[in-house]
Amino acid sequence: MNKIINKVKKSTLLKLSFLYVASLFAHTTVYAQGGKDLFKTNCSACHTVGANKLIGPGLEGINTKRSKEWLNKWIKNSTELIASGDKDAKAIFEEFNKIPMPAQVLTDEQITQILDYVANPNAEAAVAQAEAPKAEGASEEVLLGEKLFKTNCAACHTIGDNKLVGPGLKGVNERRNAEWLVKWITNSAELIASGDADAKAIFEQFNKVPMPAQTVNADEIKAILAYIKNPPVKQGEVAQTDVAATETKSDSKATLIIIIILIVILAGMILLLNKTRVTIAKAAADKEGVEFTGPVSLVDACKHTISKNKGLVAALVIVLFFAGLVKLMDGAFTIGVHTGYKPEQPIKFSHKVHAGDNKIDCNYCHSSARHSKTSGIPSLNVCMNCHKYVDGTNGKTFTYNGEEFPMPEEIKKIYKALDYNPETQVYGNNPTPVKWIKIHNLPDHAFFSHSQHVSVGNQTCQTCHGAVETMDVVEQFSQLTMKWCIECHDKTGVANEGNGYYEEMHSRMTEQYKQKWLGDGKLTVEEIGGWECAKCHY
Amino acid sequence: MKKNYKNSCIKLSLALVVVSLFSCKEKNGLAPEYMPDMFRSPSIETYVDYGEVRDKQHPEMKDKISAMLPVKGTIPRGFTPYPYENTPEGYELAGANLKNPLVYNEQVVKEGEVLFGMFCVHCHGTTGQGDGILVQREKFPPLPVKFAPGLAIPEGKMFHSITYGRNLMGAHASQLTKEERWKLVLFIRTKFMNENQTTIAIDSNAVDSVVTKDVSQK
Repeated sequence: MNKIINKVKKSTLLKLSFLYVASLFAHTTVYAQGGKDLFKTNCSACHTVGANKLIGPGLEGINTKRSKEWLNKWIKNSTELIASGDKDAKAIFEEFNKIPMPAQVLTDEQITQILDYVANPNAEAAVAQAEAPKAEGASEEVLLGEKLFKTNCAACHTIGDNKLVGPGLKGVNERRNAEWLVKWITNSAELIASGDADAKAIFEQFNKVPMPAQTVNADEIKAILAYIKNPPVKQGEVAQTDVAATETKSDSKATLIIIIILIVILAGMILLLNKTRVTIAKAAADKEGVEFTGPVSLVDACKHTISKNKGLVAALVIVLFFAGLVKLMDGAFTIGVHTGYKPEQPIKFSHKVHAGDNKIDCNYCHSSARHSKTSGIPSLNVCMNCHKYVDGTNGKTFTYNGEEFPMPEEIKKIYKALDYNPETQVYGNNPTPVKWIKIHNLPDHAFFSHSQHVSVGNQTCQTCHGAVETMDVVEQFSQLTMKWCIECHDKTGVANEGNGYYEEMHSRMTEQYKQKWLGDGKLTVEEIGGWECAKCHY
Repeated sequence: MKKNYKNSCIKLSLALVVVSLFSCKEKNGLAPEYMPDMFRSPSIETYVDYGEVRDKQHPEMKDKISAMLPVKGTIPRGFTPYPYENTPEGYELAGANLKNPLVYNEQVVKEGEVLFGMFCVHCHGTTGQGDGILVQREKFPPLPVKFAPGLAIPEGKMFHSITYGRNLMGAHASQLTKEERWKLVLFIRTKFMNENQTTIAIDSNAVDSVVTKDVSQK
């Protein structure tokens, strides 16, 4: 039986190796593409196609290092291979802290595709690069360097002057020689231990946190350094920054001036008309040989008209009186109702960018809503969780209320408030608060708890605050009146399933009350006391 | 007499019109307030300007910051200090000594998943491979850490990293309670690192002491 299986295996292996050779021969990218997808879904969590380790070893040159047969066995069931006493398998097992590679459910053909892709991962990348518009003046080496930098270095370094976790790398080519850099990158701890003065100084400067040894080869380091030296300038990203608009603010002032001018012109016209009227009337009186006795001044003329049209004036007065009364009553209903309140905040923080486009959960910043009465305005350390890295200096703009603004200006306001120096990454001793304007204000005589609604009631933020993720400037969405509270409590159901407390209570109810409270099959907030005065007013 | 009555009528209606036109507008679109002494709290509340309380002016309080850190030397109720320092040594110590006080059960993992969706997913991604939306939109560089089976990192180090931040990741201690941080660690290890927490032997003495110390706080 075993022999038969072996025979089958051998024959499939033969076929496979034939396929492998054929694919190499034909140099088709079809296999490589399928292999790429397979690699991404099955292998990339632990392996790279380069030389660098992730969780498992880098797979560069694996096809020459191991036999096809061995690889097949290893991928399908590495523990079996280790147990069989294979030397290579054991060595790898030891090297990677005795963590076995999980057995992969792949067909022989799929393994071939993956190995094919690993053998020549750049075939496709090269095609893609040729198709993509190349950044101006960037050589192949620089492009490769950029790619390597982004995957290996960017988490701790920038190519500018500013520190992240490690120092900014601008001008590192002049500061250090290439040999030193290769040593440092591949094993900084060794260099420090060897007593190198520069290495020690950096180690001390960065709080004795050593740079992790990077598994890149000398050529790759060269490419990265080339990229740091001449980073390609991407078109269309630089020129946009200063398109700030300053027109709209003067708009309201302009309308006011126009209205005043109109009033002045109209008043002048009335005076002028009155004068003409008097002149004509006088001329008419002269012609008839009578003395002119009518009203001369404007005020007299008005009095004259009123006394002549008493009925009309009375009607007008009545209409005006009631119109005023209605307006006043309408106005009374808006007292304390700030729906649509939309003050301009000290920093142009766009909820649309953060919660909408970047899909950051409301709770990330307003973290106390789950635990506390107040859904806090995030302190600036929460901003810095992202904006330590995202400083907007790549010349990006953002849209705020339909206008474009440069990002760095607004982010610098955070740094300034914190007295933070982004170049040295040092916080100063003179922080100042950002004076955010609170929008949702409940009167002191009404109690409201966020945690009660968010954690217990499972309400979304949008229920009361509206679609904040679509607002640049946040405005008050709901009325926050008592009527509004009461109405919501009346129709909102309580999720009481699986809650032993309520089950026990309801089982004790008499039929009459059961019908009254549970007859409609829904338990509302009102029915569990959400309309009690003292729930919110005490 | 009649004229007086008529005059006052006219004046009253004019006044009404004028009042109704101008009364309902305050700066920034805020509606008018009636009896502000019922609206403004004289007691200490969050984010309140105490420059004016009960018609009394307090110029020294006006426009001052109202959200503050606890007074030096005091500890908020229910809070326990974290004993390890934000240094490489502290990181190693936390990795060696700190154990998750939460015992695996499905409910805790579910709660951890909700928290992960709120606090981690935009960078670490739904798969834990560091491909969250911020990375996809190139706001952040690809993360060096990918949660996967066999990732050799003790849970204490993970807790330490969430507390103080690590590399580009910021500190999340102000947003997450200790219990929530442990829930996250448990969820990540169960979901992405394929650890079945039930099989891990737990030193019950150690757990008890940590539970009472760490988890009771909010």
